[in-house]
Formats: sequence, structure tokens, C-alpha cells
Amino acid sequence: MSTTQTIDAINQDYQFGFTSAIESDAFPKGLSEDVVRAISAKKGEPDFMLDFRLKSYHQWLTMEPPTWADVDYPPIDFQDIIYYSAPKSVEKKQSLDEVDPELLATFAKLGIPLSEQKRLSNVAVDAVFDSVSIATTFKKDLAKHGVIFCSLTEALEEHPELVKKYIGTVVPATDNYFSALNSAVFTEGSFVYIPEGVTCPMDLSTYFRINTEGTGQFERTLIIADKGSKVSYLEGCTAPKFDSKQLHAAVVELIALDDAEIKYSTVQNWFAGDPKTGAGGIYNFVTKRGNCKGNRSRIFWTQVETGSAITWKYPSCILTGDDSVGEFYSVALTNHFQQADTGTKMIHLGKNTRSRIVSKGISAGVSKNSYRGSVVIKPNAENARNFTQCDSMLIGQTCHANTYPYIQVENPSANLEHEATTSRISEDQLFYFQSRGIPTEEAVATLVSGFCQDVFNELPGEFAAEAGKLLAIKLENSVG
Amino acid sequence: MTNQAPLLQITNLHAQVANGGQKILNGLNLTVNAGEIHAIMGPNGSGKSTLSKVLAGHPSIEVTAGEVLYKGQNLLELEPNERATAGVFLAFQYPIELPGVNNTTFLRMAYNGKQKANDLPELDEAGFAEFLKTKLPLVEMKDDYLHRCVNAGFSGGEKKRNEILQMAVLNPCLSILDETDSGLDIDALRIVANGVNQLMSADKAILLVTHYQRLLDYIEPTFVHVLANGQIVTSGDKSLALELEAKGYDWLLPHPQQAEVAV
Amino acid sequence: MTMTLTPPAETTPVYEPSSLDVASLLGANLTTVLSPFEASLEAMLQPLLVTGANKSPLQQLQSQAAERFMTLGLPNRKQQEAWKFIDLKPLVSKPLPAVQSHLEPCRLPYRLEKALKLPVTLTVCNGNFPKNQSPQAAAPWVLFSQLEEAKQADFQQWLAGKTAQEVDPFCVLGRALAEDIWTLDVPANTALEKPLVIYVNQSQTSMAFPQWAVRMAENASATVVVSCSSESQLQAYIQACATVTLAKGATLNWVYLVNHTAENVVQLLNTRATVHENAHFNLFAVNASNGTLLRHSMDVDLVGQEANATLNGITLATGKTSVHNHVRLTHDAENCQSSQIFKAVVGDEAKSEFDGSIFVTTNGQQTDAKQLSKNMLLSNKAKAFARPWLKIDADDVKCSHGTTVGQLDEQQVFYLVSRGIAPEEARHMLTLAFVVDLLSQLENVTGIEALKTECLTLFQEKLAH
Repeated sequence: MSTTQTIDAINQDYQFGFTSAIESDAFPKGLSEDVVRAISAKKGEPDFMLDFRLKSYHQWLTMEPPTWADVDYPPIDFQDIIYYSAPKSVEKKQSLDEVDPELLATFAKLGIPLSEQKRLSNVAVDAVFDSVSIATTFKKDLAKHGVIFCSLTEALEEHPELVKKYIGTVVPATDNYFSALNSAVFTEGSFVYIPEGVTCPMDLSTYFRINTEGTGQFERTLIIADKGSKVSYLEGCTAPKFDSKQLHAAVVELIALDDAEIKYSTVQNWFAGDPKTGAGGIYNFVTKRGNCKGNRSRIFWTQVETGSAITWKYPSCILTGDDSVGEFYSVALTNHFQQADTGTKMIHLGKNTRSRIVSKGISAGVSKNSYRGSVVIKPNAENARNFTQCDSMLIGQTCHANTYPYIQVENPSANLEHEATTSRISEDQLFYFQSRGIPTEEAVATLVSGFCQDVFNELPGEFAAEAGKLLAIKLENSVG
Repeated sequence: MTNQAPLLQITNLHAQVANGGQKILNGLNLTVNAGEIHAIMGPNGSGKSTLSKVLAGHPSIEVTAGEVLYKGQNLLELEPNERATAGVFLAFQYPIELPGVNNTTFLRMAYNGKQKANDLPELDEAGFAEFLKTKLPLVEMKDDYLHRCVNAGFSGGEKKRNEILQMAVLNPCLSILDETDSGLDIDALRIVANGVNQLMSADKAILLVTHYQRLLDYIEPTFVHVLANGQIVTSGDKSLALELEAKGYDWLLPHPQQAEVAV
Repeated sequence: MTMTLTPPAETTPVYEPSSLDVASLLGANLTTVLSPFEASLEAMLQPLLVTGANKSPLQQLQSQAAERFMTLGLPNRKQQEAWKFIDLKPLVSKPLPAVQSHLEPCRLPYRLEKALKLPVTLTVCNGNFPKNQSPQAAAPWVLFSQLEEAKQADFQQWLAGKTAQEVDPFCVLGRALAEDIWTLDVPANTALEKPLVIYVNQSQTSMAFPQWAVRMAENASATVVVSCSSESQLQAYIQACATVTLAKGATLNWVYLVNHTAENVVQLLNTRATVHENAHFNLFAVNASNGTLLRHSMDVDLVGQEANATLNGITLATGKTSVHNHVRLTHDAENCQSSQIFKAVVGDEAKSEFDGSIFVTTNGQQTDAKQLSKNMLLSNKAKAFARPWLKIDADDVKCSHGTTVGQLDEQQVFYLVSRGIAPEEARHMLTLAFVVDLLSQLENVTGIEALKTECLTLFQEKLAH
């Protein structure tokens, strides 16, 4: 089929798909300008959003996939992906009981208290199921405090001015290959706005789930903390097992104005692929970045990355405001055939800005785990401070652990410290546990959990204990 | 005692943390004559260490009003190093570690700097080594301290002894000992106090900044002053220190609530 | 392979090497206008690329190196991480200086000779090979072209292998353009009694391509001090390479002392070492140069059990100097140890970069590798860059790396000042204190103990300047 024919075919599909899509679950596979237009039309977006998408799409066409990360994968066929897929019932559910019980079961297995009762008692949840937001709980309670927490689609309907003002300001469409793709085709995501002086009365949370085979997930999250406000946001991800690879290219933008604080925590457990063959799994190519725009603003990233076939993710902070603070705490665990290239960027622009990076990488199986982090102190960033600690732990003789820090200091008043160590769980340590009657699996879990403690401490509430359990599950049978 | 101008005269001294920080000294007055040892006591946060810093010229403290005369000369106009060569010495509460700076080299540099500033002959390496040997017994220090780097890896007691060794080498007229007794065990306290006593003479004066009475068992003060809220609130002889030890500082400080009860 | 997260906005124009067209260099397309630099390079490489029989082993090595250079091409700052922070403009913006054909006597005072009380073993002046310094007991260097036939074959095979693997275009360019190669072949169980002192001096505008090939047989030991200097008001390009192999139990101490007073000097150094079982390679690089660009690329492979490498570097960069220490250290055998400490004091508008990678292959069990990069910035326009990387494929390893960037501690300055030392002097003292512990390691090498004091004096002079 010639190129023209292909385009024609897609166009036909689109014309057909467009009219019938209202009834249908998903667009056909493939990406073109018309698909981008169709997504926008389907969501009834304002013109500025369509322009943003089209610009991004055309930019993306001129870009090349990044090759610098220490990960290997065959080229992605972007025409073999479904860019819009909605569950049969798109009505908002008011209770999580109505949401996929398998999702709840998965989290129950991990010990994450997603049960309705527990969840609703302390956390407001926006669940994104494939491409569509299913249920946002506690919306009314939050509204009393002036907090807006809704799907991005709703935000575009109800608060277009806020979305227009901030979207793409932290992660420009042209930032990188995957963010450009996301900017063109993103289908859903969460939107949060915390008004001036408000401390959000409860933790906000989003659960993402890819449910349809061959679907790409391109969600986009936008969080704005106005002056003096404070919010803690949790994100969890799962996907069922499929034999084919699936692409997840999300964008998260955080904006903290004067004296505001955003804490963003992620527990990522996308399907990692078959442990024996490496087949299937998620390509988790995510751009997360926060702008400490205001003076004395603070952004804290905490991530526990345990899933995905490939993770390519660098939650970063641009420390624009004077006295602003950026922190990054990460546990990345890779086992079997997993590959992770993850870390952060701390860009110091304002005076007296401080950043802290604590990264713990654990590799097992034949996996590859790379920390990649950049600390940049620009000439105007007087008295900037950075502390970086990145530790790697190797389990078994066939895994790989890499550390790639980039340090760039252009102001003499900067103080920067970087430390890194590599260690392993030694047979002696395991024997010591065994000799005290503690089984190997438990010993490994204990040692790994201890290794990660500095990061777990940053997780809100019960997440810390749960993260430990999650790691233990992921490491089952990793020591012979 | 003497009819000469006082060695140190502080008048209405006001000082605050540099760059518009907290006010710490609020009109402090103090006169110290040659041959006298003054103990400055007071609760935490009363301004004791700030006074030491002002006298040494530490950049973290800013003088906002008042006058400090040293031998009749305006001390506040002098740079910190000029104060040192003029004979003012501060034994730091927390002597800083200087890895990479050899102790002997450092002492000789300081010594020759002072000699030079006062148009006195400097000592070469060999001459200084001889000179230094005579000072070591004063603080019961062994030779090997000299080959180490200044305070680097020293214990708390070693650091304080090293301060007194510097005092011996520089032979200052006015010594300010800032909490020199803190962190010392009883043996180290005795060594340090012995050293200080031997270095004292009729033409010198010492300002002992201390929290506790116990140092005064070893170094007998001529006067004891209590500093509170940035001012000297009461002065007396050494018996005042014993009284403080027994009664604490509270009775000297204003207590609005208690005052009401009394009425 | 490139490794950038997001390329920072370039403030200085980026050198675009794409204009150096390989085909045009080969003479296939001379219609392309070459830059003066490219033209001068072409003129020098052309004769080496001519194929023909009857080449001597040395000429064969040169031709091979020239071909390798053509394959590699000049580095691309945008695509090659290792060159990202290196501004090659000082080198490529003008034609290469001529090679001086006659030996102008060097007027530089031989400070080292005096300080170390050692005779100078070898002097390379303005790039000239002093052929009269042929084999003799006092000077164990032998020119490659003067080696006996059997040894020539040995050396050629070894160096040809190294050339084929080399990825640094300047390294092979130096080998191609070098007139000859000095060889040092220390026999088994032999310890060279005195350190060898080599002077690489420029007294006039010139180029120099000194090449050393050092083969240490079993349990042999030697110490080599290379001093590179030049006088003011000249332009120079120095492309030096030391290729070293240490057999079982051998020890080699190699010290570089780079101190150009001239500013218009580009010096690119390469050190390539292969360390076998139980051997020790100790490199110490001191740089107090005013030269505009200095890059020292060190590739060290630990290939035998319990091999050991110590790489230390001290940089004092002032003016507009740009200093780049690039290390690739590979642990490819069990129980090897390595230690790297690089300290840099950066003042004025100078720039210091440390790019150090430790690779531990699956053979590298029980590796013990340490790496530390410490930087002190003295002025507002001084810059420091560091990329301390670890790539680990074995599980039983102890690897650590650390980087710090900071400035003089004002509390320390005040302490010294409170003892009567002038502020300026206190600052110098503390700046020297920052590097002195590392310099003290020179005292552990027999015969060059005095080098520590010499370096301190040099630094002191430079700071006071």
C-alpha cells in the first residue's frame, strides 16, 4: 500500500470512526492529524486545545525517539496503537464498588487499602481506566474548600482559563519525543487546583489502569498549587497481562506558586512482562516535571517504580523562585527482563534554592537499572545547595546497575555533594539471617526494605509499609 | 590597680545578627583593666558568645551602636587580623578544623605575622621549632600534635588545648576564652586552666565567658558579671558565681507573672 | 552514543565538525573549501594516506593511525557526551602551527632538575625528536625506529592493536603525525634506580606529538615524571600519548606536571594503560597551566587478578583555562582495586570538567573501586562540571563515588584571620590546604618526594599572581 493509499485509508477509517465513535469503544489503530482532531472533537475541546494538539503533533513528526537512555527495545510502530479507548459505560461512577473488581483485587493482594471504606475515609480518588476518567470521589467535599479535583476533560469544560494558562508551561510540547506525542493525543488525566492559602483537606489520588490490549495510555496531569497552598497527591498504576508491549507516555506538570507545597507520590506497578520470556509489559515513557515558580515554594517527588518492561522517567524540578526547594526520592526495582533508566533533574535558577536527591536502585534477574540525574546550578542561582545520594543494590550475578550523574555548576556560591555506593546482598548476610531461623525470602525483603527506608519514610501514611510488601512480592524467587 | 587607660572599655554596645537579624546586645557596658580576670556568665542566649564574636570582629555580628576601646583605640575599626596582631585573642568555643593546614606552619605564620606588625624580629623554621618546644609543656601537648593539621580529627579536649597553645604562642594582652570549659573532662579542664593561669600577668587581662562555675574553681576571677538579654544585669566578686551555682539565673531575670503574684 | 538529558542552551557558538569532510580530506572532492585548520591537517595527513609497499614498521603504524583518524573524524560536541563541554575553537579556528625543523635551545629553567636533583633523561623541544639521545645507560628510552628488529615487530603488533581499538580521534592523530615513538622496555625483575625525567618544552610557536610506549615486564618497576611547559607569547598544540602495559607484579609511577605560562596552548594528553595480575599503575597529574585548553584522557584496563590503579589529579585553573580530566577505568578481572581522586581549584573564568566512568564487567567480581571528584570555585565566573559514572555488571563489588562542589569556608578564613593572618594570605593557605593532602601522596614515591614542595610553590606563585 502506498503512502497516499495509507493516508486515504486512515482518513476513511477516521470518517467512519468519527461518526460511529460515539457509540463505539475505541478508535481504530493508527495516528494521523485526523486522529488528533478526532480525539479533540470527541472530547468537545475548546479551540486552543486543538491548536495545542496539532502543533504538538506536527512537532512530533519532525522528532526522533531518544537513544541516549540505557535501554534497548525494538522501534515502536506508532500506527499499531489505539489512541482512544473508552469502556462501554462512560458514565461517571460514584462508588469504587462499581469499578473493576480485578483492580481492587490486585491492590488487595498488594495490601494497598483501596477498599471503598478505607479509601473513602481519607483519600479522594480519580480512577483513570484506559483513556477515560471513571470516578472522581469526594468532589463536593473538596469544592467546599475551593479545591478543584476532576478529570482534565471536565476541567476543560469548567475551568478552561486555568488549563489554558498553565498547560504546557512546565513541559512544553516540544520538550521531548514522548511529551510531544502525549501533547498531541492525550485522552485523559487529572486536574488539580488548590486555591490560595488552602491546605488540601485530604490526600488526592489517581489510579491508572490500561485494560484493553493494544491501547496506548497517554494521560496528562496538571496540578496547580496557588500561593501558600499545600497538597499531597498519590498516583498508582496497574495493567493486566498482555503478550504485546503497550505504550504509556504520560505527562505530569506541577506548578507551585509562592509558599506553596506539592508532594507527588507514585507507586508504579505496570505489568513488567513475562518473567520467563520477557514478553509483553508496559513501556513507561513518562515526562514529569514541576516548576517551583514562586518564592519559597516546594515540590517533593517520591516514586516507587517496580513495574513496566521499560521505565524512562525523570521527575524533575525547575527551581525558579528564590528559596524554593525540590526533592526527589526514588526506589526503582528491576527484576527478570526489566529495564529502568530513571532519575531526576534539578535545575537551580533562583537564589538560595535547595535540592535533595535520594535514589535507591535494586536490580535482580537479568535486569538493567540505571540512575540518571542532572544537577544544574545556573549563574544567577546564588547559594544553591544540592545533596545527592544514589545507591545501587545488586541481587544475583546477571543484573546490571549503572549510575549516570551529570553535575554542572556555574555559580561559585553553590554547595553540592554527590555520593553513590553500590552493594549487594551477600551470602554471609543471608546466612546470618538463616542461622537465626529467618527464611531467605524474608531476609531479602528485610534487607531491601532497610536499604529503601530513606525513601519509604517520604511516602504518605500507609503507603510506606505497602511499598515494602510490594518490593517483597516483586523479588519473590530472585535469590536461589 | 592602675592609673592607665583601661585595657578594654565597652560603652553602650548594641549588636545584632548581620543583615538586619535578631538584636542580641542591648547597651552593654564593661571596663576591664590590666591584671584583671572577668568572668561573664549568664543563661543560654543571653549574648555571651555574641560579645566574644564582636570583640574578635566576626562578620556574622553587626554592631549597631556603642563603642569598644582597646588600649584607648577604637577596636571596632580594626580588621579581625589587625585585632589579633594588636594583642586581642579569642579562644573559640568550637575551634574549626582546618584539614590540609599544618599546625606548626599555621602557628609560625600567625606568630611571624604578629612580630612583623609590631616591628619585631620574625623566626625561621628552626628558631620557631625551638620556641614552640618551650610552649608545649604548658598545655601538656606532645610533639606529634604539631605535625597534624589544625584541629583536624582532634578530640574536643585537644582542640581546646590547641587554642591555649596558640594563646601561649601569640602572647596576647586581652584574651577572650569563649566557653573554653565546655566539653572538657576534669583532667583536660585542669590542664587548660593551668595553661591560662601561667599565661596571665599584671599587664594582661582575661575575659572568661562561661556557663558554669566549675572553671572558676581553677581560674580565679577578679569580677563576675551576669549577662541577660544583652546587658550586664549584675556584677560582683567570685562569690557571685557560687551564688549562681546554687540558685541558678532565674532570680536575676524579670518574671512578670511572679511579680504579679508578689503584688 | 550520546548521553544527554536535554542539551543546555549553548551560550557559546558550537563548533560544527561536519564541515570537515572526510572525502575532501582524502582528496576525492577538493572543490569543497577547507578551513585553514582543515587544510593544514590535510596537508599533513595526505602523505600518510598514500598506499604503497616498502613501508617501515613505523610508517605502517603511522598510516594505520591516519586511516583510523579518517574513520573516526573529529568529535561532534552535540553527539558525543565526552566532548560536550570541550570547546575546540582554540585548536580548530586557525591553521596548525608548523613543525619546527631545527632545534631551538630551550631557555626554560629546569626547575624540576633542581628540585628533584635528578638529571633530565629526555627533552622534547618544540616537537623535535633528539635523535642523539639514543640508547645509553642513563637514558633507557629507545626510539622505535632504532629498536632491534624483533622488538620492533613486538611493539608494532601491540601498538597496531591499540590503534585499531582507539576511539579518541586526537589520540590516533598524534600517533599518525609523530615522527617517531619513544619506547621504554623494562626487563623482568628490574627496578629503574632513578626516576626518569622528561621535558616537553615549547620555546616557539610549534606542535609536538610525543608518543611513549612503555612495556613493563614481570616485577619491573619505574617512575617517570613528564613536565610540559612553554614560554609566553607563543602558540602551541601538543598531542601526547603514553601507551603502557604492565606485566604481572610490575609497578609504574607516572607523573605529569603541566605548567604552560603561554596561554595560546592546546594540550591533549592520552594515557592508555593495561594492567595485568598484581601490577600497580599509579598516575599523578598536576596541572597549573595557563594554556587555554587541556584535556587528559585516561583509559585504564585492569585485566589481571588483583591489578591496581591509582589515578590522582590536581588542577589549578585560572584565567580562561579550560581543563578536562576524562577517565575510563575498567575492572575486567577479579579482586582488582582502583582509586581516583581528582581535585580542582577553579578561579577567574576558568572551567574544570571531570568525566569519570568506572566499568565493572562480569569478570570484575570483588572489585573495590573508589572515585572522588572535589571542586573548589573561587570566582563568580568559574565553572565546574562532573559526570562520575558507574556501569556495573558484576554483583560482588564495592564501588563508591562522590563529587563535591564548594568554595572556601568563610568560618575557616575567619579563624585564620583571627590569629592575625591577612585575609588574602588566609585564602591562599586554605586553597592550598584543599589540595595538599593529595599532593602528599607524591611523598610516597621514591625519588620524587621533593615534587610535593615544588608543586606547592608552583601553586603559591600562581595564586599570588
